[in-house]
Amino acid sequence: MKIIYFRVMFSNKFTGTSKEKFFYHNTLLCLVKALEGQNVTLDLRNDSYICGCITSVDGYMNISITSAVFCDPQGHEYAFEYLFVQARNIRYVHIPETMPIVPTIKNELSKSKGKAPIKPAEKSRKAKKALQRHMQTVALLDTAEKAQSSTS
Amino acid sequence: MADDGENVSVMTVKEPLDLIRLSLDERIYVKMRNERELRGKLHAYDQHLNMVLGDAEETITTVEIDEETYEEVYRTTKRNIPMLFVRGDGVILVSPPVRVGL
Repeated sequence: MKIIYFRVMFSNKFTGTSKEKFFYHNTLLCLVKALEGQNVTLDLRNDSYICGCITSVDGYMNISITSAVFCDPQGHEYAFEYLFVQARNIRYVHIPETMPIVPTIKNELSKSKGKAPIKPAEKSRKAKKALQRHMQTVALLDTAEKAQSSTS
Repeated sequence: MADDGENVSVMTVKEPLDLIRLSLDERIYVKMRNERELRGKLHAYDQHLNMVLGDAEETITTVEIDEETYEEVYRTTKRNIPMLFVRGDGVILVSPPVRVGL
């Protein structure tokens, strides 16, 4: 179990339920996910907004933010060390201007793909038999050679 | 190769969302809930109508009632956002802006 846990921790693969994975691979969620580690502004449905650094985004677009400043509709500002924003409350996410959209998405998705473990190709029964026969012939030749060299 | 080229150029419209694909990289108009409107260049969208709009202009319309005449006063505030991710659940309709009359 421990080994599996570590593998999950260190791979770039998106983790979550199969539904979350589906959203990640099939919607613009991957773009929001690519914003992890960046400073952004989130506009919420109740006209308040939050500025901060995105730490993680889950499969439903719930977002956790650190060093956040929450501004309510009245204009009051509150600083928070850590905030979790429920996906439904998000109206907009301001994307950094410099970020190219399509390359970012492609890069994000290729990151999660990872490398499939290289599996040695399974040989067919026919091929196995042929190899076996080949090895038998080689062994036979070897013994014949030895016998010849000993007699001479 | 020639066949491939043709398939790319002739876009098939099988479902309503394919119509939005025709507006990719064009300026579009998006009507949002809470009397908000967006105009911007559509960079990307998905099945939830999450969208990425470039050079977006948001128009917020608020209605205030004049205390003396009881008339409805519509006030619009606009703001510009260079690149905006719009969550799909707030979208009411999407349209190419030519129809709006600009």
